[in-house]
Amino acid sequence: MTTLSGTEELPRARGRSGAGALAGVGPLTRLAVRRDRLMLAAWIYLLTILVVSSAYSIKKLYSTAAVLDQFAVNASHNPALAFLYGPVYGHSVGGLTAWKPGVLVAVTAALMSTFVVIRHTRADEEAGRLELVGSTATGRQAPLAAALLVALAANVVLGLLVTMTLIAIGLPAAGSVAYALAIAGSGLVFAGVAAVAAQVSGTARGARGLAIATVAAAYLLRAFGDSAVAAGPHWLTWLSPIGWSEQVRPFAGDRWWLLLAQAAAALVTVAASWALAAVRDHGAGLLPDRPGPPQAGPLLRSPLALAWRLQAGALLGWALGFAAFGLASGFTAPGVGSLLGGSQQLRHGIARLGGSGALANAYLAAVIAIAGLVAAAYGTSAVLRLRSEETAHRVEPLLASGIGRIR
Amino acid sequence: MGNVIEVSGLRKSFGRTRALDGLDLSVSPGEVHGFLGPNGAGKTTTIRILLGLLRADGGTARLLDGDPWRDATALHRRLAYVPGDVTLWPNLSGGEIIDLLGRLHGGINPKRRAELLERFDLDPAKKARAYSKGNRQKVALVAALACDAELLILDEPTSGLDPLMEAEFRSYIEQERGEGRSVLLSSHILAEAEALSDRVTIISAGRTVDSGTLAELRHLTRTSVTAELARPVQPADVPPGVHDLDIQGARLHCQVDTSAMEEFMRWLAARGIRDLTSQPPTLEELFLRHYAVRPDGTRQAKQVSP
Repeated sequence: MTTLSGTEELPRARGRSGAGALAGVGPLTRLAVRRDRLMLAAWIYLLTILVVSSAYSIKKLYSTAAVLDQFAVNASHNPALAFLYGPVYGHSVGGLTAWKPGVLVAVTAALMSTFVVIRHTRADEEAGRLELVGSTATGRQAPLAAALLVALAANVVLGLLVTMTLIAIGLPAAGSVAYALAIAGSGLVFAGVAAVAAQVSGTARGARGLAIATVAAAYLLRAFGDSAVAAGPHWLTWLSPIGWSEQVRPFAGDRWWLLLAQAAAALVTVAASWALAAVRDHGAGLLPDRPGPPQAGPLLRSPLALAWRLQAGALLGWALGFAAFGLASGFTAPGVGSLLGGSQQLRHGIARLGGSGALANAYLAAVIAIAGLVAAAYGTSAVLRLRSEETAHRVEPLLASGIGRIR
Repeated sequence: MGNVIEVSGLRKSFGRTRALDGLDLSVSPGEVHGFLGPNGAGKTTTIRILLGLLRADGGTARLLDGDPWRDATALHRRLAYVPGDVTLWPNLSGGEIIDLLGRLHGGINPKRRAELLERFDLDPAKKARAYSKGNRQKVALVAALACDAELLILDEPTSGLDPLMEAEFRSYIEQERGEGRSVLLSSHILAEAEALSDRVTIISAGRTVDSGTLAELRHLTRTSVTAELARPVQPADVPPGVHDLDIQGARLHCQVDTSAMEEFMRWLAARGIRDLTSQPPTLEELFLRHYAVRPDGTRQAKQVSP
């Protein structure tokens, strides 16, 4: 421990001890906004459009109360849809708008927050940029505070835009506000989660992985909770911050107190990350960094082998994730048919479409569509690694060593 | 005011790797202090502890009469730092980064900024991603030097600069010294430390092995002597305190302990000196001596910091 050996006081240090942790937050926040202005605008635009276009198309397609009700009843009896979108709470344009894109938007807002927070904390620290910042008169947690402020601002702007556009379309104001807050709430909880992940993992990739795994777990928990049989584990939904967003039930009761639960979760995670950032060494995570082998293995002798060595870990992680997802959906699929006891009509309709197995098949098809999206995300990130290898100048020594440009 | 930097018995481990193992360092006000050691000796770790980026495991560290960890923010207003490996925000321009760092520091001297940009021949309008290593280093140097700091901490500041810029850097440090600033200059470029430093501290494997002015350290080392004598000599005749002896007939080359010099000269004179060259040890030789294989067989500590 460094100890204070002298007896003289340091007047400037004492005088500023209150503002110490936050010194420099202003310029760092402006820096983050300056760097992310396009990316954040794109995320917010995309999310707002997602919500508003759903609201608009539902309003156009189901123009009478009877049609809306019929659609809502059908949808709420389909466990596959419950798995993907959650239960239907309101049989109105607003209720369906909250239902159809609700979970997806909550997840996307969570991912937006995750990327923003980790980009300005662990990623900058890993790159060495925060060492330069840390040597100036900035507080130890100032970069974290700046990242969280930007995430907060992004979610607030998103919430405002969603509220205003939904009200403009003609939906009730209270429900619009509740819905917007539920989306922003999910974003903020996961901003906190990402802030903790950025302290725990020593690398940006690790931190992102940790935070995204938490988002995925939150999605799946509520998926299983929502699609469970009547006596099944519905409580699973309540373990998930994304489940809380859904349970706010905008336009169908507006349970405001759940927003407080989200705010509390965000505060707790932020406080935890704050405390961790105050005590840990710069550049270090809580998870130890294992030493690598001192010599290259016999297999590490080609670009393909190098790609494998660099990406095998991520590939294994994704493969395990997919296996778990497949297993889970496989287990729930056979039960899908029997869950429809209440709706003879729907059962009849589906049997006419493709026989008794059709329901399970339809469910699996929907699940696989989601899995396909996620797999595409993996493929994209794996190939984009190429670009990051090049910008980091790691490709140059390879190209200089008698290896063709395309390999 | 006491010393600008006062470190004693500093210890720091990363997992099982011991980076610092009882390191001592003191820098008095107004001096340029060379901080020398091979890669992985613990220079960067020491500097990061002084900057409050890392927390020491043991020992004491005082910086500008404050605690480097607890008073970090306030102390940083009074110092400026240039890391050995500078990474910048790729889509910001050099000028933007200099101003940003200046603002974070709590103020930048615009006149000095302009002067430094000129001296280091840096284009501030270029985006950081287009800068070479040397130019990235210049950005950090300009940002650091343009702040009117009491103490400059420079971690291998010229590792990416070309010789011309290195000379420019040296003349600037000379100027800074004239203005009464203190400088801690970590380096493994010996010529740089030799040219600039008032005093040096040499570390190896996380421990201080020597500290003092270059004159004091030379005192501890051997002088290299080449002599041409009147007649051939035999190795057995040579007095004690002489090392690495090489005799070619009447020509002789060796290293002499400073304490044995007088006796050796008398011995040479008795054999008729035709020609004599003696050279003070360069810092290179100090290094070689300090990093020669230690009694416990370790050459140097493992590299622990990037």
